[in-house]
Amino acid sequence: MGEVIVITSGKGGVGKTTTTANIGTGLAAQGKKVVLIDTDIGLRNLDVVMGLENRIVYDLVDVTQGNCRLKQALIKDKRFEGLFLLPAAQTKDKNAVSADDMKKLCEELREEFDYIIVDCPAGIEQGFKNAIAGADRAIVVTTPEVSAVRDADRIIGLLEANNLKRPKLVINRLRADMVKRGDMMNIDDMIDILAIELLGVVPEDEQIVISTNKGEPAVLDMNSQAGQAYRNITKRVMNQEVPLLNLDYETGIVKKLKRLLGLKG
Amino acid sequence: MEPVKLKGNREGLILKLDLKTSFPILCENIMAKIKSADAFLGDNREIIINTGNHVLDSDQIEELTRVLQSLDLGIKKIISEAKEEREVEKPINSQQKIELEQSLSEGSTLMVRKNLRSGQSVFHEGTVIVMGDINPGAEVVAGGHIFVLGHLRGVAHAGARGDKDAVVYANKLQPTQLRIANLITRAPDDESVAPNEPELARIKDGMVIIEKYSLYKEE
Repeated sequence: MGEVIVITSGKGGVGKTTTTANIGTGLAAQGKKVVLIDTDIGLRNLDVVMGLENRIVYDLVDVTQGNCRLKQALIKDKRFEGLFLLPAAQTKDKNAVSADDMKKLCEELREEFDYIIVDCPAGIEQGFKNAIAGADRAIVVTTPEVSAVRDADRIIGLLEANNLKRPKLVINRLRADMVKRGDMMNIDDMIDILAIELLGVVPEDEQIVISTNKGEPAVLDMNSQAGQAYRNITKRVMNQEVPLLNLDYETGIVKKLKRLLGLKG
Repeated sequence: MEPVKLKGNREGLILKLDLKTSFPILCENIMAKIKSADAFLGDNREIIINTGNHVLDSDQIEELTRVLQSLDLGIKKIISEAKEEREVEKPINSQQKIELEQSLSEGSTLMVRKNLRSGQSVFHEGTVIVMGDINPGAEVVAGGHIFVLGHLRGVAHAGARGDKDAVVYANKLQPTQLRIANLITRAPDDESVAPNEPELARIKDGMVIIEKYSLYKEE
């Protein structure tokens, strides 16, 4: 029986979709059978980040409305046999999907996949309610900004109220140098406020912009620091113990060494 | 003319409404008309609404749906003969399938004089001409041909009812996905060369081919 994990944040633009794509691809790279569901109807992105936009024929709304069979709407990834995407609809009425539809869908997918990763839309409206409806676990993504942390706190409250206890936290786009100067919230400040378990910290990395635009998740890029962070997060999702990346160290000596050796920091 | 007329053609039953009549009176007339023609309706419980030269707003569509629902009827689609192009917002009720068409005749042409952006879509039974771009995430579905006098980067489906002779023309043809009749194609993953002259896509020997428009010859 597979597990349904929802990736959510409240605030937009903190990296839900990037996190979904990377965790999903990371799990598939570990040999798991994975399906990614984009529930952001009308503002879909996951297909673009995965580089699968041009393969879309049917979408989530087609499935819930019975215009096609579930199998027909699942898009097979270009890189991994066991990785599939169920894209959101872009031109259809966003109220076409209900929380019950999502529950049923997750139950059906659970039979066949090890992990069902649900990319949640920003906000706390119907789209959010749908995304969390069938979930067993939740991962909350935030960035080291007061506004993002505030929204994450709100989301954690809502998740707990909906029986998604003990969500885990991904801190995205952390800049170790700014934290060091005291110009950015540090990890402890955020954990202190949110009081949930940390799943991982992803450093700010130019590679993410490049990989997102190319439609190739950074988790597969062995030279990317963010990719390494996502590989570790993936392992933690699979309940393996992996120590946190020492970002401070990485930005200092290792980065210089890597540069000397001609590797990308 | 009568405010409400009921006609049938091969597509189904059409309720033609004269929107010069005030809307509440129109609804009363619809009730009376349907009741008197109940035997005529039989098992056909989905009707087409024709609004003549007018376009219904979303409140009117909602009200109309309610009236018809009380008569155990559904709306198959809403059509209008309005000359100017308008957008009909999809109402909250997703059950209703609403298409804006310029006229009933299959060969008619719809002119879209704007860029179609992500999330926007155009459905039309006949041919569609877009004077603008179709961006990724936007789609045009036409029963006939599709001509894009701009950059086609989104999804285009020509001959959507199965017409294999339908073509897609674009000044810059770089679609996310191209569909003609029941064939679906996309560009290879590693290729992203921008075309520098107009191109035409059509079905030849059971496959979608793309050729420079300047080289196109009538067969």
